[in-house]
Amino acid sequence: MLKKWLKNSILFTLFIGVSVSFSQIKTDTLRTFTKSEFLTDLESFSSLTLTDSSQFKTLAEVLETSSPVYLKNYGNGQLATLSIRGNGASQTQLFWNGFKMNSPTLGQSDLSLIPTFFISDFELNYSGGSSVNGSGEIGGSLDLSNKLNWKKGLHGSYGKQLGSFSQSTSRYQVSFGTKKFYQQVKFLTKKGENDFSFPNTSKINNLTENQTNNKLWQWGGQYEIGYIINTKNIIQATAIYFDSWREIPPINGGVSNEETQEDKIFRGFVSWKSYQDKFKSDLRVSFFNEKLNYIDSISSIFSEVEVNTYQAQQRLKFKVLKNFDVETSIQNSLAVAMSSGFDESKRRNEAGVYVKISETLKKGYYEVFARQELIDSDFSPVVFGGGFIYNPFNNNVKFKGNISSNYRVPTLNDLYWAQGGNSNLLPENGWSAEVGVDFEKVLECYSCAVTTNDVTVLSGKLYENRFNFGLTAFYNQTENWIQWTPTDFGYWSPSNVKQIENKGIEVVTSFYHEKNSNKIEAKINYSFTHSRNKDFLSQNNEIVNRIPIYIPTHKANAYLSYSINRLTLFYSQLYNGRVFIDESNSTYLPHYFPANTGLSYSNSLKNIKYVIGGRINNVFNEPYQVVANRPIPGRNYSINLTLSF
Amino acid sequence: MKSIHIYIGLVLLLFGCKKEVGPQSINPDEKGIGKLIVINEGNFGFGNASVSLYDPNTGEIANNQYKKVNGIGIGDVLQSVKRHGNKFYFVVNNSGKVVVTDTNLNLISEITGFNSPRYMEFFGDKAFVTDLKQKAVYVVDLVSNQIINQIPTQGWTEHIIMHNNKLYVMDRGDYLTNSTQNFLYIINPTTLIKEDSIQVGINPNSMVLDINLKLWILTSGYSGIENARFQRIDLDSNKIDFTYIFNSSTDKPSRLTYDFDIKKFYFLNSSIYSVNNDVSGFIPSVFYQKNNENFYGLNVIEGIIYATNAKNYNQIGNINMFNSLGEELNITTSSIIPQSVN
Repeated sequence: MLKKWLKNSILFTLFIGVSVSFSQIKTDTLRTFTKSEFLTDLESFSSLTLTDSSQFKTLAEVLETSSPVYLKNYGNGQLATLSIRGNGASQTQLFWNGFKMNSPTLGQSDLSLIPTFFISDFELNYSGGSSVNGSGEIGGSLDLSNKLNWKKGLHGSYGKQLGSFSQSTSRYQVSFGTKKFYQQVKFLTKKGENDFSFPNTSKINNLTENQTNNKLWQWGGQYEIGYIINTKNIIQATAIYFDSWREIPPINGGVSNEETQEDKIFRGFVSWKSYQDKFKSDLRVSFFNEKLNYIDSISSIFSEVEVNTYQAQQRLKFKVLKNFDVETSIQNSLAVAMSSGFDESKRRNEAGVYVKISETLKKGYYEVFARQELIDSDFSPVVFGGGFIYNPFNNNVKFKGNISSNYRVPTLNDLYWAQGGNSNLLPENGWSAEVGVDFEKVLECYSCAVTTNDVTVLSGKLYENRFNFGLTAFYNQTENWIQWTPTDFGYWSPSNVKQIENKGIEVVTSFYHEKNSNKIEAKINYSFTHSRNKDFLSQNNEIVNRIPIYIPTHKANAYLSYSINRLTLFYSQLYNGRVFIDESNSTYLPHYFPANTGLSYSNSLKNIKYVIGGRINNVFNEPYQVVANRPIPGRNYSINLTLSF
Repeated sequence: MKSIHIYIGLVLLLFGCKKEVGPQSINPDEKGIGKLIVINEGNFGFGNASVSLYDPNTGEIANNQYKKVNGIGIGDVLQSVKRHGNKFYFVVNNSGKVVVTDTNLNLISEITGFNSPRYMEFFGDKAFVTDLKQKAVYVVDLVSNQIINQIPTQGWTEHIIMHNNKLYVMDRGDYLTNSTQNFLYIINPTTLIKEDSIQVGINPNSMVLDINLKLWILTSGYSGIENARFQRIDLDSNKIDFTYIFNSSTDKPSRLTYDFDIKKFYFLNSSIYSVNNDVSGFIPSVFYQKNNENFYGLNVIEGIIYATNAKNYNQIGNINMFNSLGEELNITTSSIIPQSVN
């Protein structure tokens, strides 16, 4: 009895403990696997935790400077999408607390509509079909989550950032926690004129011009509540409303149609976690309502889309035959979409069953999994795969690998857009694999014996040196790649056009040094992607073995920060190799190499903690474009203040 | 410490190079001397339109010539080009401008302020520019290179022909919904007054004057409402005096062009078709059966038929050349979405 109680308590403490530790990590950290996570997520080889310092950044900025993924960014506050391992934005699935959040109509997610302030954690998940959350992540997935920190008492914070081009962000947060109860409210506003100047490369002598029609106005609120029923049951609910209005600037040298786009997003979910003796269960339900309103009055284009998505999932974790951990998930998702591109409202129901069996051994871990989905009335191909982690030498070196099949169903627009939608489209399908090694070396001294003047005492923390290195090789291939192309009849239509193959390597290194009140943190990531078009169904042999558009072969980033006492200085550097913008690879956008730097100071005044900081973005004032003819601002500045109690 | 030096060195090295910004071409091309101008539309929004010069005597093409000469791209979606005097006028659709160059492609000036310009005609020191969205024909003063007036129309104005001191302008109605009533306007270029309008088939897309100075219009029709048709207009009476209706609703003919010497029409209907300019027994037939080409533009110059192949629209296209017997003479590559040979 006591043993049982102890076990439950430990499990429970672990859960709470992990939650708390997330909010305590001081910087964006790239975690590698720890033993306790073995049981939960093999698929996440890296995850990042968002902290106070990063909450003024957009998700796109955080990802761009801290991971090997490629961000396709149309400019300040404009559309930003994610590309993983040579795949496109549609092949990257975003999940919000376990629920698919890519638009059922468009098939993509716009990272500019996801303020980091409204999420607590995110995880990049590279390995195709292995996600417990669902299918569609041919390249990988980005899992966003809201974990409660269960901080007791009343706490609050206020943050303000002012930046160039009349940018202003305000955020407010209040939380109240008791032993069993936790509530948090957040509110955010963000606006900007974004009328930055740029060299207009379409003009002789690259005449400097100011960007026009580029205003942004966003606001949103979030409410979170958690209730600990007893040591075995927890309920959590999160609801968010976000309203984003933005103008869409003309392309460099183009004519402004004074386009605007407004997105109104509601997302809510309730989760009931139960930690029983024999199993853990998590029941989740969610409702999303997403509206998009695009206006180009000069071209008389008024496009409206509204999608309601109802999702539910039941997850279970239990042990069989003493050694095997089993994780199952049963899910259903119903999306109902109205669009000015459809002649009537369209719906799609996706039901899925997922099973994963894993075993943790003395020197490693392995798993196998399978997923079956029923999409409307069609069974999709069974997705299956497996993975392992092997650590032969005391956890310092870990070998890892996994392989899985995967597929992605066509979007509602692909199928039903009038005119052009192609109801005969096949799902994209393929497989992916990776192998890698992670190395970690930690030298630390928490309570060492120190001898001074012949007196030996136990010290506090004297120093910590931590070095991490990870090398991963990946391969993925996808058939029946869906692409929209013009038809003989004057409109565009999607079809399954080609096979695509990606292979490459990713290198992740980090170094952390702490001694006395000095801290140095350094991170370098590099990715090499050999992405190629393969077979074309239209026998378009000239572009076989060419690089798909907007896929860089090389990408690297580096981050360096130095803290002394309460002062922190950072420098971050990005290198993005050139990308081709046509499939013959005859035209390209040059590489870019922008850097950011900043300084922050934190202290407290009585009970109020404060952080003041300043940043310089694009320090070297580098003119560049991520997307053809969509200029990016030159050197610009921001200052921020955060108060919290 | 040493590594920091290496790093600084690397930064300097990367910044030391001349910085390219925006779309670049992988092979900066040599200056060409071809007498035919190939305009390459480029991808909408990519700003990668370009001009190639083709020499029919040597069969050589020189690409990216506008950029070669002027150091900048010509803009976004190059729709048409027309020579007037010693100048070329390039109509750049999504840049809302007309680029004026000398015959060596040196930029002289840009005429700006258009909404979504398509084609151009000239009369004295005035030019007339049709537009996709403006519901008007722009009137441009060629001395000041400014838009000075607009002639209101029902909708999308497309091809425009100046003949016998009259402007003939095709009106395709609402550019999004394809309204079912489409017209040919006859406009007095001096008074800017519409003197007459003739209702034509749905979705007129191209027109040519034949050797008898009759105006031929090709329409692509509207699925379920009207099949595509050829219509001949007698310019003395301003009446349609001959109509040929295509058999199938899947026929979407376009790009009508005419060889004066052999009195023969050519047009695209997926493959290349031809038909003799003879209303008795007017039956179009396949001139060149396509394989996997994606024909996009069609022109006849000095008896040679130039068909552009846009392929998948995001790769380098081809120009396929034929003699009047349908024999393929040459194929050359150009740039993204070759639109026409002029």
